[in-house]
Amino acid sequence: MVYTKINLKNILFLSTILIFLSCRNSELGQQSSQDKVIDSVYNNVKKNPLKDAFFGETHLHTAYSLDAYLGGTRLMPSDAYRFAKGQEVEVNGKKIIISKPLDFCAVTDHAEYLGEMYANFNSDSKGHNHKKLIELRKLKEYEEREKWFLKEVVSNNRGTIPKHTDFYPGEKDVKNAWQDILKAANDHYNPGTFTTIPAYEWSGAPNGGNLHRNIFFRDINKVPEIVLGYSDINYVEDLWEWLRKLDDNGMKVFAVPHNSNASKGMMFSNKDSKGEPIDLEYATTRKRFEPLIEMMQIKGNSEVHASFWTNDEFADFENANSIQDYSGRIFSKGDFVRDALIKGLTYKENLDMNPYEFGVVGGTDNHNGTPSNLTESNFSIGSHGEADGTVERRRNSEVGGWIKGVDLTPGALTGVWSTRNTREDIWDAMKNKETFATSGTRIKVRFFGGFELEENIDTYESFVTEGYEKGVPMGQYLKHGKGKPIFKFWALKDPDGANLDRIQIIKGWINESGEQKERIYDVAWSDNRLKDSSGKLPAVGNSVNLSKATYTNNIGDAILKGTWKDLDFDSAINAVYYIRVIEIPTPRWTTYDAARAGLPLLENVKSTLQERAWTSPIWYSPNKNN
Amino acid sequence: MKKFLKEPLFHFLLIGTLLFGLFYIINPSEDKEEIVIDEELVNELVAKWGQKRNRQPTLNEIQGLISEYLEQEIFYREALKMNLDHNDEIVKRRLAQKMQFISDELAETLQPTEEMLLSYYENNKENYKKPAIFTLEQLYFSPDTREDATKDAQEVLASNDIPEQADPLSLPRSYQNTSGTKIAIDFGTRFATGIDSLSLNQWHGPILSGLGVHLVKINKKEPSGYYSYNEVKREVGLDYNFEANNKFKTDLLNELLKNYNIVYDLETKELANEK
Repeated sequence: MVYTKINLKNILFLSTILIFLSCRNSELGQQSSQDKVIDSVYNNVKKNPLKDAFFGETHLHTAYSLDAYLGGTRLMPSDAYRFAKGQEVEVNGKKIIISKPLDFCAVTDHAEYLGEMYANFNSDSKGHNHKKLIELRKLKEYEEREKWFLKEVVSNNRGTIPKHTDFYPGEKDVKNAWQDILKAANDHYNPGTFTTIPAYEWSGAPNGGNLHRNIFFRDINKVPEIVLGYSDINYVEDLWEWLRKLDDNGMKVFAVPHNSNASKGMMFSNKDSKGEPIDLEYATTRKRFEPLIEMMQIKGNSEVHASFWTNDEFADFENANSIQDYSGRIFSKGDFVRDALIKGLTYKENLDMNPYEFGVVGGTDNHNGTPSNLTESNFSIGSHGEADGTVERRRNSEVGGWIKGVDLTPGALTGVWSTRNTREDIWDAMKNKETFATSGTRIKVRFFGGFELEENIDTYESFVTEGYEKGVPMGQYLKHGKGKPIFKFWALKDPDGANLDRIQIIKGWINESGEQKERIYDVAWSDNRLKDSSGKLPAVGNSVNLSKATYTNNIGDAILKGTWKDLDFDSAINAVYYIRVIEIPTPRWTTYDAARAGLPLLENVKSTLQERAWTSPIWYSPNKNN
Repeated sequence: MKKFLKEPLFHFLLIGTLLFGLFYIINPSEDKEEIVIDEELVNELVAKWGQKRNRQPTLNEIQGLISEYLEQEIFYREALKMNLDHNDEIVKRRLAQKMQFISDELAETLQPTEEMLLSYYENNKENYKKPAIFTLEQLYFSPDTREDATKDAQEVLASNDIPEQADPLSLPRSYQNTSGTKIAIDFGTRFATGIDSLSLNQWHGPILSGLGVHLVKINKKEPSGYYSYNEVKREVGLDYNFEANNKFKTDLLNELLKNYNIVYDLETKELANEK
């Protein structure tokens, strides 16, 4: 070895650093003292018996997700939590800050390739120098990375029986990565102020049909040592089996599927993964482990689609049609949540068990490590790294293999009604389906149903108290009673956002012939509008200035509330009801992009949208409940 | 820590320290190495950058590219001196990454003392601002149901007869010891600004919010300030480590930079970064 001239100073500098290494505190000691702090803060958090609405992210990827890493994301779970709390972070060289800090956040990195990512980051891992990972770190251009991803990852994950890649470093690295993720969640948990939820994503995708589930744990000290991905568990029924083992052993957990729009008929199929018709066991298991569904996210809105719901004037909302151009993910009516909610009633009738008895949440699926970056005016860095990181790419290009840039949305938000903001309370409220989803704004909406409720609203406090005492909140079954059920609702606009247009109740049921039926009722609306002769409520108007990307609140109302009695109620049949709240029109992110860049609006792309919120449903069954 | 001890590099450094000490005694004059930043290099960097984007980089961005290049070049050269003698693009990147990983790992293992944390807290107090704490009451006048909510609010205020409730609102009439942040979240930023400098123990209005019009009475206000060190010890620890990781790498780089003469051979003088 030849040693050329070298400065002694820098060697000494490095050496002194090495001396410092010996003065380390025990990492373990520090951990338990942090837990003590968390516990003492937790014990001081007061409960609000009327409950508050807490807003948060339930679907987020950091550099631990291989596809995010390939897109240029280098933010880790800890950075994601910082962003959620309101600190500025940097994504692909651009600085960004959240419009309004979150109350809670779950980081849901893919279990798949988690070990590989750990090996990639940590030079002490045995797998660090596998030639494929060297290749990965070598890739500079975005197009190169996309090709690598399609070759090494996608084709492996979409086959009939997925297996680990040949650069899989073994279980130890998966466990290490999971420990890192848990540590970040523990570090940033501040009971009463900011909740973190230990979580990850199982990314099942047989033949390219999306069957992904996000998995959420209740207690950070009661989680498995390792998280299992699609190579370990190939069928969703086996995923539930694994969850059952965990849950039965005190590791409370549930799963939340998303993107049913892109599931190619599989999310709500009447057959299970092996092709057998759904039976009581399947329905019971699914109902137990999937209390919620993520109804909207960056890759579109899965509530309804304009092609299949021609009578729903608000169905043409973030339909993300270009999803159908990739991997044959053609939409069908049965892939949408409203259809599934009603279809579930048939199972309730026949099996007395509804596999689709889920509440709704909203997430983003952001791959930049920036949770709930939802404001339409704040989408300047996109959501998937380089793929949609510039105005040019968002207007003219795509997120590889999935969707055209223009069809993206910044994502959706989860609202949870809870007595306080702690991990256990938020998780419990989600398990109980006392949740609502919004398309990104901070609408707060409450929903109660019961046969004994008064048909008027006095104060907010009495509305809430009566709702819990005499009726049931969103996510529950109506308690049996006489006569027709009364539903009560109260929606408050985002105080920094747009006014409200209307509240609707959507009712679904199965008629005597066994057909799925639905009806949409406008139950509260702004500006004292009068329905026309055909009973239709006129549109609220439009105050948007497209060239400036602004709007004014001179239309719409700040609060909408009321009661509604279901006069068509039939006590012999199963029914499902949920609330949809619609805002006045506001500029879409594509309009902000155009205004800022001085570009024309794109043709065939919506320039405005009406943001909205959906509650979890209230069910009715003539059978004994649950 | 253990992982570093196993690194061959660590062994090199130990042996190197001894050998170089000797070398230094024999050959005390230190010549600085040159790294040249010229037009050709800058054009190359700009061209690569421009391929991904549809525009030219700004001055700031070009400076960033030059910094990035310097960092990689220095780490590479230092690594070269300690190890191999190749000039292969792949090896170059690998060695630079190796140095970066090592500096990352070194930084991670540094644990701050209580004094260091306290000193960090003092130097970064602006990050630990405490919002004002309010005990207040508010009445809501709805623009949805009133012709002129502002006028109505003014009339009620003038009458001195403040009712229990004006219009129904799904937010409490009274807030006890609530942070200004929570008030801003519930009522919006306009309201939070509006109540900021109101005098205590009397009704004020009309105060506007994103929801409508309010009358507000502040019964108690703890002024905004700073959380005490003990109140935010956990956050300070997290922030310290976060910054220390970044700072360590910068420090190391700056130390190494002292061995190099950076020669700028450019027309655009502003690109020469005076660090």
